[in-house]
Amino acid sequence: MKKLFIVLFLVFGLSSIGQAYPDRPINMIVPYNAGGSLDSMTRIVVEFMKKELGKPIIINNRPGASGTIGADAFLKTKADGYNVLVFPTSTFITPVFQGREAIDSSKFAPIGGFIKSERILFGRADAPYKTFDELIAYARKNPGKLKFGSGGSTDTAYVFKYILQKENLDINVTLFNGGAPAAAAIMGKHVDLIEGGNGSPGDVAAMAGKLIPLTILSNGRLAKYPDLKTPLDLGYGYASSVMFGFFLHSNAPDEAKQALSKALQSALENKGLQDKFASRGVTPKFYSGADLQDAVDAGKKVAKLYEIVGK
Amino acid sequence: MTQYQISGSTIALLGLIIFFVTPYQVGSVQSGVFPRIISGCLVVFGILVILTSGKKENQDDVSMLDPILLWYLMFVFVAVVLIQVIGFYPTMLLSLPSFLLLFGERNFKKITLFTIITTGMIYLIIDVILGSKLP
Amino acid sequence: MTELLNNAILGMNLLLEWEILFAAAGGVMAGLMMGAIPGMSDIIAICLMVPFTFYLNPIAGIAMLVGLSKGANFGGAIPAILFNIPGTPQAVITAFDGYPLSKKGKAGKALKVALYSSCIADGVSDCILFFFAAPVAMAAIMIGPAEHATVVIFALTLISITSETGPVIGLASMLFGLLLSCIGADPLTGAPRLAFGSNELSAGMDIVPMALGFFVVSEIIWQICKDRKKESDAKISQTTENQESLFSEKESIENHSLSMDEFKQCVPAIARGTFIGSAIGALPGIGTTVGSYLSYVATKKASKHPERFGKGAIEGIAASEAGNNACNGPNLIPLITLGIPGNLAAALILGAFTMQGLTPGPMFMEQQAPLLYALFIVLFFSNFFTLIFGAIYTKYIRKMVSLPKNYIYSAVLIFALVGTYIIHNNTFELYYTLGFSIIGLLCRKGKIPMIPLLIAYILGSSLELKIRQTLDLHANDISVFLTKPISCVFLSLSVLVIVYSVYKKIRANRADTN
Repeated sequence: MKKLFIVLFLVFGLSSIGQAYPDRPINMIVPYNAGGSLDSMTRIVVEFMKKELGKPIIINNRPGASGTIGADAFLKTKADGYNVLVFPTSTFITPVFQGREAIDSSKFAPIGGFIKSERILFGRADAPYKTFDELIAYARKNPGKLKFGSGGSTDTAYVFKYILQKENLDINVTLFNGGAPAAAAIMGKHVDLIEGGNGSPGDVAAMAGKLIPLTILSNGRLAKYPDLKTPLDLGYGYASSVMFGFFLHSNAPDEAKQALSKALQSALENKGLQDKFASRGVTPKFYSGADLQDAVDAGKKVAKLYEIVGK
Repeated sequence: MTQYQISGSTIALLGLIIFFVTPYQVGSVQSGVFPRIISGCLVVFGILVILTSGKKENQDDVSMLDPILLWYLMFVFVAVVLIQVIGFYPTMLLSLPSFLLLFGERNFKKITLFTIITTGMIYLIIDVILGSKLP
Repeated sequence: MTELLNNAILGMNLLLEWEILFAAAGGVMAGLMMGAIPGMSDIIAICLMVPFTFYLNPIAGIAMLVGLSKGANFGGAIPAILFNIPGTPQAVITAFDGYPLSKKGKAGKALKVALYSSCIADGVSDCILFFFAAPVAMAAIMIGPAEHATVVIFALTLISITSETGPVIGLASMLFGLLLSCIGADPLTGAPRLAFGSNELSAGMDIVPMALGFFVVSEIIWQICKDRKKESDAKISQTTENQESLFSEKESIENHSLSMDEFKQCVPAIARGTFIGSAIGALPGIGTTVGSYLSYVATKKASKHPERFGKGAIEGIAASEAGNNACNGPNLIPLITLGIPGNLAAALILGAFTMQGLTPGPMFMEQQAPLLYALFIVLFFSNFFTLIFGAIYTKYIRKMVSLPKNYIYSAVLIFALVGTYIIHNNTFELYYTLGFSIIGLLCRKGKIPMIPLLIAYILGSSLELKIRQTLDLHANDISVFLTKPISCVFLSLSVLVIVYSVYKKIRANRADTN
């Protein structure tokens, strides 16, 4: 009789220990302001993931210092699989461009990505150059005349600077805080070139015909601009890489990693989610943890540009 | 020394300190340009303030060393630290009565009642309606 | 014009959902109440509500947030008038004349002036927004980094020169504010600067801890010390005073209502405030506090009895409230077309736009015109909500002054601490509030004017950003500020302002010595 009880106890006890992850709400840290583009996209994804996981994901905004405050806050939380970070892969190296150390990506376990953002170089539609080669020719003949502003991606700006260095061109470069100021500046003729992400205000203007996409500055191609090549295709060795993905601590339980990855995948296959994103002009896709890690590593290469190109 | 002279010299001093500290606190020379220009101007204007203040009489105002002021700042500082250690709600329960006592209230019944109502109200507004968590 | 009407009609169609008006009304009500609690300014309210707008339809969500900011713009004036503790940073200037008036027992009058000026100015500026949105948007594109920088320089110069305690110390205070804004992150690269090794500091400090520390936490203790001094002085001169409640309750109707004549007195101030506020709102990145202050100063200078200001002149209240409310509507234009928010509240509203998948930018006006015009119409009607709710609210809130001060102070203090935390979910920022309150006390003691400091602090990082962007784009050639027409204009205006005030001072000195 006693043996029966012991067995029953073990069976029930162990099954409750082996209770499926998650058994309580999950905390997600978003290292940007509520309402920012990453924040809003994350909220959509999270809403659909809730259905898969059965438990809510609670978003905690920790903005500041280009994302490093959020990353630090995440590292301080427990590695029990109930704390997740959403992060753009380019942010791992952002501190390098500020003169600091890169964030150590080995402490993070990539779960999966959902957006790969391609950065495009735009010029005005009424400019004398309509393709990338024409731009280079024009810049050679008019040194110091053209102006470029980045649309929020510092590493893309450095890729551009590297191209300038390689081609020996003289173009003035500055950084803008985001897609909207950059787009406004180019439309107001305060700059001649900007870089913007797929779906950013600059891209919206390009689709309306006011701007022309000249080339891609990140490492992926776009279906809607089939003629544009990446810097790697063109022979410059560096291209920026921006993927938005979820990360757990590297020593979080495997069960959590797998469950989250699966939930992300099913959420992204949901038609409702695709519709919501379609109105923003971006197409989310599921990228596995391995893809995400590749994106991180690709981004790390760009960090070298800080030394090569200089401040 | 008139009040203006004190202000002026403090400003100038501050400007001077920042001017020299800046190079150690910036990642690149370019970052440091603006603070240095500003702190330089600050030094100039601090001196100008001293020079142009003239002889205005010292208005006797609140003294900075009024004990209640110092206690107040101390209490606020303690409250801030406590919030980080034990959380918002416990700190509120402790600090509301302390401040009331500091300001001179003596009616303990009123104090306790008020503390409970206020803390409850905050809990209601923040936690229930808006769903935000205070640590 | 026909295009305008077309868009307006399309916009009206989108409005036929109750949800939207409901959301706007709710927003106004919430904003009114939150703004009236010092420590919980409009920013905090918007911050907390932004995630909710995700689930609402776009117009409803944004209408709610803008309603919040409108309601709070007036709501902040309530404690400013009653206790000299502003509920929002822009209400600081309303307190200049509001508080003295309410100390004379005329709180109701002051509140009514504030309410009517706010609603009228807001309504008129919304009309301006409606009719002039498209042309202003086109003009807004012409403002690039160089022009923006010089506009800010002009605004800062104007504010410092016209400060109460004199231009020199005003400029010094402005520079101090600029210096404080340098602490944190380099605006161009994001690199930490003057952070003394702290990762928290490297994110920079926000306006909320400063506003709360400066005008709330330090104000509380300052008032207490002043009262104690009054008590001890009174004891010395052997007079007695009743210190139980704030004011002698003169419940005469006349003291708490606004006569037609008085209202007529305020009309020029309201008109001036509306005009100035709309202009400032339409300029990117300047802000409601500046609008409120400049309108006050302009009214004071135009008045026949400037010495009445600061002692309870109703035109002062009217001017500052009109000034800050008129900024609300036009501020949406640079927000939508340039993505540059005029103040923190607008920055959060920008976030709400992005959350709904609406990307602000130069194409927004063209592509989303019906939505925008629908929004503008809702904004116009929200003013009626403010009027109704505001009237009801102020009638009852006036009784608050008869509560014992000490309880109010303690509660406000706690609200301030909670409010600081809520913005970024970061308890470290409480130290900022504490630090700023100490600076606030030192400023009050040293007669350093706090408004130039506050405004310079708000505008500092954007000023530096724009200057450096301009220099980057023109190969460090400083003369570009003079060669670009718009920027040259504003720079010259700034110089003119300085020259004029120096000239006036010299004349005044000569008149003194004669």
